[in-house]
Amino acid sequence: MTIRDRRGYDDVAVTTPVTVPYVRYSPHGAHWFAASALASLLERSGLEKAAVDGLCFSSFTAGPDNAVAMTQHLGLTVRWLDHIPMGGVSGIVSLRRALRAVQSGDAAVVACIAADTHRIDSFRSIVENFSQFSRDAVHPYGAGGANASFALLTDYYMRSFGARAEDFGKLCVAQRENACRFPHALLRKPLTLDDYLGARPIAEPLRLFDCVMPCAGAEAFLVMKRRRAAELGLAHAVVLGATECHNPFPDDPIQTRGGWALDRDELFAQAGIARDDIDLVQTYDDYPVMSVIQLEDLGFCAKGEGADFIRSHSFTTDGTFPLNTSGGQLSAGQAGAAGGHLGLTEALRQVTGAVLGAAVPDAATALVSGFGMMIYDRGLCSGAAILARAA
Amino acid sequence: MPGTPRSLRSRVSQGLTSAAAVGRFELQVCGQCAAVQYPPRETCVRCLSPRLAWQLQSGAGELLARTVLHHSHDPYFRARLPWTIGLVRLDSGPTVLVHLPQEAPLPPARVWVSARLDRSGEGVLVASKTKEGADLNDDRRLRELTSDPSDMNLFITDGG
Repeated sequence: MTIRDRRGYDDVAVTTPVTVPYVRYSPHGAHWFAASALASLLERSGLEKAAVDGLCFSSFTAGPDNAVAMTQHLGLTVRWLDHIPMGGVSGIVSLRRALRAVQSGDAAVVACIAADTHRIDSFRSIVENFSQFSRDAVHPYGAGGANASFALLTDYYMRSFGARAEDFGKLCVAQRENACRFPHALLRKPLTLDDYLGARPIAEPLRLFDCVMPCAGAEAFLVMKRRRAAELGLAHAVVLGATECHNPFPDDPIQTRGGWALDRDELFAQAGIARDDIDLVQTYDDYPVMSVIQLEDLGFCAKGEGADFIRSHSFTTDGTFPLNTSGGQLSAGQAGAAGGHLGLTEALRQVTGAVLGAAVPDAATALVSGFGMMIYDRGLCSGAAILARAA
Repeated sequence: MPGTPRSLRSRVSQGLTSAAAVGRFELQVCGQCAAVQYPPRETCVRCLSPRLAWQLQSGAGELLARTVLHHSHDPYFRARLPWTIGLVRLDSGPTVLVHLPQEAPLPPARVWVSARLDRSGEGVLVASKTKEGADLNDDRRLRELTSDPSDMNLFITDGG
């Protein structure tokens, strides 16, 4: 595989991670959560609204509105606007778009916002209308939504590579331990492996705690030149490398890998660091099997060795291989497209020393991975970014 | 008990239903490059030709994975849980999602896919462990879904 020679992002800062606290259900629209996020970005950065001249927006529940409508709802006049309807990879993709916009001078300050509400029945509507392929070839088959699709991938992974329920359970239990120290996590009741194994089945082999809890909330961050961030006195990170890939491996009969397997060499080459230099990892954990696939495809272990990798690490903030240090979506909740941003905001907090929960000791470098959009039988979008504390 | 599964099928998918209505399992085959594709599309996924024809399939394939659903977003299925589905890699190429009888073999296993009409009148794919599909008729939920009249008591009037 040829590794493209890609320009870095050295002069651009990522800053001001914001989480609008999650709630299980909300009477408010996605717009309310987007506005809360923007208000927090402005308050924490000290910027006036007029200083934000770029907006990158992601949501599943803002419909019929998109990023354009959001400018009028929020009273923003921008010269650069993007809508990223990519769910679990929306954070990474927004980051990539915003980095280049700021680097090129097309925008000075880009607000990246993912906001979603959750009402009784809103999740069913998303599932039912997710894609044409879903309407024709997935939903009529039991209407199990993402749980059903990932149950099939989990079933295949377990049969093919010998992973056990206990292995996935260990990840869920470790993430809950991290969530117990994170104030915004919706699920903070300690979880034992017995609780995990004894939970009711949702879509075999998936049990209750393999599945994220849909909720309402928002995640956001700002992208601007490093000079500007320094002038504003904002703690910030730089992005050493970032990749995205859509519809990789279309001929695989069933998904056991994602685009990271194509892009990992380019990611680390652009970043100029090795895997051992990474202090913490945030995977997109809509289901534990996807965390395992990401760890394999990103090269932390070989394909099929994910279960052994789980058995050899603790994944807690104070343990080995800190993973999903805010509890991930499995414990924090999945606030729609914000679920594709929570790894980024948490990584940003960790490497800038501004944690809300437990800090990974001396964390300077983080890898964040995104994954999303099961249009038919596999998640099509994948991406990853490596963030580092600005020197 | 809720009646039909809700349907929001696309126009391009109707070929599957038309064939299922006469007991045939057909998929789109490209008239230019012969690629067999699923789910249905407007054009060929490989060569982008719009010359697609619905052609009879043998249905032979390998069951790759299965799941038993204990939760559903649709009232029809919710009233009939648990519900078993699977992913089948057809010998002709595409991977298809199918309804399975509850007594279906565990993957990996050879199966035969056929098309039926479901209670909403739309074509759906079902997989059987035999070419003849005898096990499908032994499964009460699948018989009900596909309106198979065998072993049913039917009340027929002239509708006058």
